[in-house]
Amino acid sequence: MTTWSAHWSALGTGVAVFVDRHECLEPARRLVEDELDRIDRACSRFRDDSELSRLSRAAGRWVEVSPLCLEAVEAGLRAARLTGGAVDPTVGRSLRLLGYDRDFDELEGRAAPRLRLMAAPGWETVDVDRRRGAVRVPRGVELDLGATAKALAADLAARAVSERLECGTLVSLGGDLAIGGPAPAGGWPVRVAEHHAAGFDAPGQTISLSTGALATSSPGARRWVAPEGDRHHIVDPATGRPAREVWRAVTVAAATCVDANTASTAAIVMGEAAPGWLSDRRMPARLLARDRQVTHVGDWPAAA
Amino acid sequence: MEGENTREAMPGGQDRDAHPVSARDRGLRRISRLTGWIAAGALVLTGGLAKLAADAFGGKSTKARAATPAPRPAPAQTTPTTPNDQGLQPPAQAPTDPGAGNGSAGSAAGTGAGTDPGASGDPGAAAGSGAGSDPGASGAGASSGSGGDSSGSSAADSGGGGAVSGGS
Repeated sequence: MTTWSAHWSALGTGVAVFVDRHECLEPARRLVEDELDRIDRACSRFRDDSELSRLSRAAGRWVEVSPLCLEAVEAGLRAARLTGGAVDPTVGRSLRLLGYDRDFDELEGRAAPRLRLMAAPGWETVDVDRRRGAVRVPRGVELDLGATAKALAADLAARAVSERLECGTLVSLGGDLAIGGPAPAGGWPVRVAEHHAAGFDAPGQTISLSTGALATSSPGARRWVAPEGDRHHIVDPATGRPAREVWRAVTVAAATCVDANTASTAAIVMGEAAPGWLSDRRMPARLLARDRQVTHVGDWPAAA
Repeated sequence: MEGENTREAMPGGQDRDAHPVSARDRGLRRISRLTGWIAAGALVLTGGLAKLAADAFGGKSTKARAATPAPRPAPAQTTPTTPNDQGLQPPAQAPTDPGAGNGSAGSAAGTGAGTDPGASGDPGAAAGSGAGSDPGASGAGASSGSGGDSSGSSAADSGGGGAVSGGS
């Protein structure tokens, strides 16, 4: 079966949309762009006019937010709850202190600040009133919804394309993939690699994906140079440090991209405990260790 | 004078308004009404103050903390979190090996191990635009991963394609 795809850059990462009918491609691309624009205006940590920035500036007052922002905040809090705090949306200030305080493109070439660590204040400090559509973030707490918000955008975009255009689609936001509608016969072929921009012939494994979503987290991406060595963007909320690099990359399949991303990010933070934690939750996963040993969990297919 | 008397004549010729028992009853009724209004006002005032205090000094729900199995307690929420309380959901169908045909994912669980043969070097240096191809024929597809941007230009491919999943 022939498929069509479009590729571009947005939100500081690579975006791709795949569809099973040619006439769907351009409208699908526009729908994905719309979703990305919405999520950026709601959840960007780097835009003063985003709702997320407004929440952080509110200094403990209740702030009414859009349904999308509310959904993104709740997705972040849910991720924290389900991972025992290994993925925590209150790491915003920890990331800023590490030097990740602007779009990643603008970080390169800048001198990183000296190492200052701050553990995340904790997701339980954030209050949500769903009925009022309001969120309260304590004074001094800064949210970072980066991982879960991007995955949420992939889920929403895939759903929008499949429902409005009635076609099968796969949406990729920086390597976080979500499927909408029927998959091609045999499933969507996906190359699992260490880095999403590596191309289809990069070292890794090719799999077929027919339902749900797939996400990969890797400390090898979004790294910047600092006096004590490289820093990366996946922060251990308990310490405020970049997570230990037990795994080069962790890829997880799940029903939604938010769940896949939650699990893959948590696995990086959990280190050696990750395979058992993923297995307990029956999440198919592929973990690539520092020495390139590959561990499969659950129903993850063996490499051909 | 009969017909001009606006007051009710009481047995024994006493004026009713002038009767001390009637005056006392009217006074008691007034006090009772006044007490009712004061009670209602106090209720409204108490509710208003309670809402103001709740908005200004929100606390944590000890009930939510006790019900949460996770190491950290649940956030105080004023509405129930029904769908959010589901655990992480595995896919309806696990990924499959494209070389193994289009069968179901199989049921083997547990962990496996192998070695990723490639040493890709700097992951950020790879080009990022994907190209489509017939997934059923060539196996090309999407890659899952995260990483730096590709060229920034857009491209549309026909005839297939795949995704790459990786870190970004």
